[in-house]
Amino acid sequence: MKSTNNYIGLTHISFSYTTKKAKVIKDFNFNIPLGSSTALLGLNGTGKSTLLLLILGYLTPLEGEIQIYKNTQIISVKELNGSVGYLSQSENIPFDYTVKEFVLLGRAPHILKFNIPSGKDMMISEKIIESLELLSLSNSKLGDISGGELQRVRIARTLAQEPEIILMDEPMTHLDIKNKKYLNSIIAKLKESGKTIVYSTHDPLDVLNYSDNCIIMGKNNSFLAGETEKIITSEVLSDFFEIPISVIKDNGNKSIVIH
Amino acid sequence: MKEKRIYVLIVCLILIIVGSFFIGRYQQGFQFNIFISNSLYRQILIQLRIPRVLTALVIGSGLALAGLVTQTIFRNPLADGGLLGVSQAAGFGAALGILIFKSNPVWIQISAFSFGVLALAASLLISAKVKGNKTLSLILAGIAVSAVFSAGIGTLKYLADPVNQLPAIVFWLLGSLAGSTWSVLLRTLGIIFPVIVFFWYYRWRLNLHAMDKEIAYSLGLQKNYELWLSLLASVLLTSSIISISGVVGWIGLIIPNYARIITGSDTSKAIPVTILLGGIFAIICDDLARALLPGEIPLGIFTALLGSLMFIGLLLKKEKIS
Repeated sequence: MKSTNNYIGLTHISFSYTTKKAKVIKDFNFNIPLGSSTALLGLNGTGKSTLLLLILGYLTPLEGEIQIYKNTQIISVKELNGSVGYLSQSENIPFDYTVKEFVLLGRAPHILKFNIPSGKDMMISEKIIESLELLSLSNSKLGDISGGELQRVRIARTLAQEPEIILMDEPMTHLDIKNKKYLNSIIAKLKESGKTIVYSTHDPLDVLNYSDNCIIMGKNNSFLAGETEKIITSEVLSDFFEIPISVIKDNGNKSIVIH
Repeated sequence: MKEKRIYVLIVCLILIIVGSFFIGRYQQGFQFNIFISNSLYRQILIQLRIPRVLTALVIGSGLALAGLVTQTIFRNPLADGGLLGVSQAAGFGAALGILIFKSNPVWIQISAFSFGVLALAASLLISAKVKGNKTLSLILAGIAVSAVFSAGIGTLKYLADPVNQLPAIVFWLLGSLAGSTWSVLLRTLGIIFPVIVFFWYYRWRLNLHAMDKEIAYSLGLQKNYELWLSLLASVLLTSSIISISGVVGWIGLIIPNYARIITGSDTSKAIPVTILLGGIFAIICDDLARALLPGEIPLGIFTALLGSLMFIGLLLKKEKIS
């Protein structure tokens, strides 16, 4: 594995929503290794969601470039349209789809524009529904299931897409401990199968537990990025959150203590 | 089980189409020898009733389909062709046509159609200049454009010659299929049929437009061009239909909502049922319009009456409108 040669390269990225407003992201640089998990840690309004949308290709940087470097090939993120999965923080779904119909929508990038899903598409999405333990809800309407279940259904749709890169905007935020643990096991499995995962969070524990690399996004467009092991230390966290915090690593168990 | 419903609807539609050929003020039970011997009856059937029933089928299916597409694109189950000012503008175009071109139907249709497209362009241009929520700004722009054209309609009514032109304008604004002929039907089908075929093949992917924009992008929906194409196709559908039938309301709003109750929200299942239900609804309304009283009653009156009753039924059923 030459993982160091395969990465999402973000070079000198700047972005602002309107020309008059201050830049949300300014001169951001980092190479996100492919096949790993990367956490974006930051307070609200530091540009985590914006950065994810830039990597998705939905937003275009004002300055700089985002390219995928893979086996000496260089691909622009815009060309990858359809193979980057995106799980937003919350989603507005105006029509009452069934779980089955909704997950099947994830197959869209694999289906020609003027075609309907094939038997193979249905099989793939059914398998994913099964693997996420949603089979009993298959024919339920989205309006009738719980918030945690809906989150799982949305993850199922993202997985049905079979994307190489998966972007998740605060996927853990509204989950209870059990569902969080479940999501963690999904992320671990995806990583094993070689997928690249980038997720945002505002809980340092989520960073410590689930990520190989992390990017800390601070005020005034400052950022700090690298391997989680090296970056997440008592000093950095205390400095960042402006309260005394200790990172405890004991026999492979990692924990965070707020004094 | 669910597939069976669509066959039931197809059989219903065929029965209603054939049955409607024999409904009308000129009563004559169908017997083959009468059909051969009675040339008046033959003329009425072939030159009047058959093209009219088929026109009702086409406009009902088309308006219902345009409604479903509009609702999906605007992510709002209460959206309608009138939303972007298309109906009002087409009505204005027709009224203008009646004033300028006297009663040449081809020019009235062209005028109605052009103003319908113009209203869409105006709504889009205005909303493009507005910052913020795109869907909301488009709806607001549509309301404003619609108001401009209804003021225009008011002006034209005021200017119209009250003996000849005013009744023609009013009748047209209420909608009617009294002028249906084979040539009008075939000419309009030239636009409507390709659009229906387009949405037939696009019926599953249309679902993506109902997703959040970022999600839709992630699923491979390129930012704008598919959206504009679908929107343009649905406006073509609406304004070409309005240009032959006059302003026939409620079909585009009510039929897709009933179709979704039957099939669920997946557009690949809702589109076939919407097309069938729209056809059935319009044919029944037009049967009433032409056969209930000795004189012709405007079609728009029946679609509004039945449509609003069905809408109240929908509200009372407490089924979520989606």
